[in-house]
Amino acid sequence: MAIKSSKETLTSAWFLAPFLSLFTLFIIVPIFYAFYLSFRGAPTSFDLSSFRMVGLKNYARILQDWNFWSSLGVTCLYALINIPIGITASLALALLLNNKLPGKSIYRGAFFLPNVLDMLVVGVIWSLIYAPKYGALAQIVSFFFGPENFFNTTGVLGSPYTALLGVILAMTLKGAGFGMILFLAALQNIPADVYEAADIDGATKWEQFKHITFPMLRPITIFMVITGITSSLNAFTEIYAMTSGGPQISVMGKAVGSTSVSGYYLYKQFEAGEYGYAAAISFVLLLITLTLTFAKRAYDNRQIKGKKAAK
Amino acid sequence: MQIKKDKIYMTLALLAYLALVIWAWSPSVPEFTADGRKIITFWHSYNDSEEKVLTEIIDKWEALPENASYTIRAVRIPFSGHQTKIRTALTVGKAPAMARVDWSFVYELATKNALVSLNDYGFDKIKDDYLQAPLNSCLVNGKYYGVPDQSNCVVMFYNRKLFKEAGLIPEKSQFTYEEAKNIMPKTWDGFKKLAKSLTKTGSSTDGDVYGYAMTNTLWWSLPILNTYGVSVISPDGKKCTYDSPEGIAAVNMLKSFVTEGIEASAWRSGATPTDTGFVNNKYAMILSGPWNLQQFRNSRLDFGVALIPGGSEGTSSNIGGTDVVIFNHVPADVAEASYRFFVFLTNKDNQVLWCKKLDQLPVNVNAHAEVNFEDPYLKIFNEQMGYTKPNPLVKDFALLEDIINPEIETVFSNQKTTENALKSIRERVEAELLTEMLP
Repeated sequence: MAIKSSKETLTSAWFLAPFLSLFTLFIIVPIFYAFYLSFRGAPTSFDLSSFRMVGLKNYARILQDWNFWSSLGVTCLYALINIPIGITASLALALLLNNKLPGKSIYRGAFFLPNVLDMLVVGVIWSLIYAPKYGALAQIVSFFFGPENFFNTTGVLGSPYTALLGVILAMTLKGAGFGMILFLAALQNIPADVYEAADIDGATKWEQFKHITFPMLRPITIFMVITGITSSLNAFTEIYAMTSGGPQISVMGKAVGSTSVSGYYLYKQFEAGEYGYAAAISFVLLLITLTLTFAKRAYDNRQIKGKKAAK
Repeated sequence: MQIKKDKIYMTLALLAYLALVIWAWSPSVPEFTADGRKIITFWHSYNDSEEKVLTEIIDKWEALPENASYTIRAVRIPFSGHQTKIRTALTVGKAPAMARVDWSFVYELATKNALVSLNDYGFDKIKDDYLQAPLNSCLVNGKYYGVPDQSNCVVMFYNRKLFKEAGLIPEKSQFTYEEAKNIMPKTWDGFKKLAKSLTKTGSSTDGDVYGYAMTNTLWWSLPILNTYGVSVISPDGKKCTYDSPEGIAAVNMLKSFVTEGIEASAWRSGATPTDTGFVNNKYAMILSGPWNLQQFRNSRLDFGVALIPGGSEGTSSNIGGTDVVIFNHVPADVAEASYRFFVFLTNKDNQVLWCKKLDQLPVNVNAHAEVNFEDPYLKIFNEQMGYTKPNPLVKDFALLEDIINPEIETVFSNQKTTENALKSIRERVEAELLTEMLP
């Protein structure tokens, strides 16, 4: 039996070898190389050997880098607004399309469709919609309320107070379809007899949602929170396509890009040829992502254990 | 027996896979053509019309007997972001033999030892054939590291259709040099009055039209800063002097375009870019360069060009353009052939061909006599070139832009006073750009 098992393992390894070799080459090796690079300074020439060793100076520089911390602040804001709105929109769509609506499969397809589009394409489309003076939104609002309105004079992406919200709305409408599919699958797995029992007990629809539906959707919600945190820390394309980190806002006397999230700031460092510093930033972001993810999982596990103990 | 067969299939599959990986890993571009010519790769960022003329010139160069063993493979890369692409390619050893780069990039490439010095091939003997201002961008620590292939400045473009609608020029007139000289005011105050007369907002039928649209970057602001005699960096390169009284006056003037409602907010994030608004008859005046002459003509736009209005120092403009450079990883014979190509590309005959076909300004002074500056567009550009001032020379122009542009935006959006923003700029430029960076 043991021989058969090891043979099976070997066969599996042969099957996995092509994928694993590519995975190692394009994911694992670059991760380790980026970590090595994070201890190297800016190149003095265009040669891999010219990245001189600087020890922890890149990490120390992060601590003093106002622009990095402000970009992290923008990222937190982005995550804090984007994740709840994204989950709420996905759940609302899933609940709506879980009913016996005529043509619901068409709606499901329509809501999922933006998710298939490339982020850059979606960003450009929304930039055109938001554009002041000649954008679709400005034209519509001006038609009803005259030209002296915010959407026409400044534009959603032109004000530091609305630009991030504009990006979030675009990304929510793009991503809600995917969340909707996840929630729909989870909703359809909730046994109907639980609701029947609740009906018999006289529970209202709201009470059923609060005490049955939402708790049963908890694993998907946790999954969406965690992927939301990760995607917020990785956000780049939408910012690149829509705002390039702007517009600027003055914070403590310093000009800060109101949508300059940490992923975009990292890109700017890379673009400037600061490969070592960009690598160090990416590892700080990785550390933050892991910490938040594990903290969230630990919190949820404690909640679940607490409930089990109470029972 | 079955297991043995499976193993054979599996091994064959793995070998096929490895062969595929090795094949993919090997260089995909051969070094020689089928007829034995050595391939010299040239990364450029010319547009469609320019690329056609480039191909014509390459064909002529390859037909010369001394170039019989070489062929030039011209590869177009986007101008936007070409620095990042070249930096990365150089770092991983995948750079081409030669490239066309923005004038501001030569300094970085040369100081990081990525370029071949053209003095080694005798460029200093023919350097006087080139215009001084673009030539200066190739000079680093006393050596020439590139050949200017294009030089330009920006002028004021005006939309004749909108001017006609405003009754400023006759309906059936054609653009002439005289019109350009008369239509554009000589001062910024006059310009603002003109822009105001062209601005029409609030009309629900025709849509809004703005007198002027501007981009908020340092390079695009330099023409206006220069009309006030602003020196962003001191001549010795050690101090930032943007917060001088001239700097404050110039930025306040830029801000007045916004506050007086004659500017289309094109500088804002997400707004319609200046070129797009101009072509679509929404922006009456913009600053632009000769690279757009063909493009605007192709879109059948009725437009004219004029000298930029003057500030306290009269009219002025910035210096733009590109240089062609050779990377130092190439063998000596390829470097020499590349140099021969640069000299050929920018010689008198080819510059005349280039400028006549593309409505551009020659970088070779010998070509000036043969380029028809009677063309009113080129005549204006040529005249404006005479008023240009050198751009600030710093080790990283992109970083200078990254520091300055956000601060100026806070002035335009009334979040900071001009004085405070320029003070912040001075402090950051001196701390981050004029001293060694960490680490």
